[in-house]
Amino acid sequence: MRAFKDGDTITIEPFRAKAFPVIKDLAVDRSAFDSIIQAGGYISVNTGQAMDGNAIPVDKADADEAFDSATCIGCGACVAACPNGSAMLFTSAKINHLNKLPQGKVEHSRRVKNMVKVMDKEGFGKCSNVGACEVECPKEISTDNIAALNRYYLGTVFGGQ
Amino acid sequence: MSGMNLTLKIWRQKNNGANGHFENYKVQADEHMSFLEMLDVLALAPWSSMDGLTEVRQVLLPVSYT
Repeated sequence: MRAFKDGDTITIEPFRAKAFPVIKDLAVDRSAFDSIIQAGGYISVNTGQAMDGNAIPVDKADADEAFDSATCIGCGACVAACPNGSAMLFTSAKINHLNKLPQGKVEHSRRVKNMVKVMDKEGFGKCSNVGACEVECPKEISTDNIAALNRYYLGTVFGGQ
Repeated sequence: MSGMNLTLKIWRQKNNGANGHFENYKVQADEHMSFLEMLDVLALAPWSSMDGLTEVRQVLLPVSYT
């Protein structure tokens, strides 16, 4: 509360986005994020004994970038901050933390296409590079993720990757 | 302990179909409190009309102040 001083007025309102309908007062329904994750935010693996930790080498830089993207907690602040109500930061972080790693590359194209498709279907707006999402993100997810997603998407849809 | 008198403009909306509106609440807070502790003070105050605070606390609060 040190940011405030005597006599201040604090306005508290729910996240404002078409894809996040208000349930009651300040609570909003963020299940649209769950739908995006269900569309591809996972890797498919055979169950069984855990493989050796070093069996698949991963570059330090790739591991760091994947980890940075994976810190997204899915709070929805990026969507609320965006004047277009876009979920590009969230979706790109979820896609990149898998696509950066060898285990995630197997389903790369399907993941990109499906998650972007569901994101559009859920009613999120388009990204116009405002950057408000990055500013508000409590985990400091970078808009570099959005640039990477755009590259992946173009490559997948037009490049046949 | 340095107290401050704050005015909170909080969005109230019965359900998804209802029209929402801002309601004003007065709260006496301390600068060493967290934001959620300040909301607790508001909810626990005997004069408070701030019902339904549980739901208020369950969401991440976007805050702007004037």
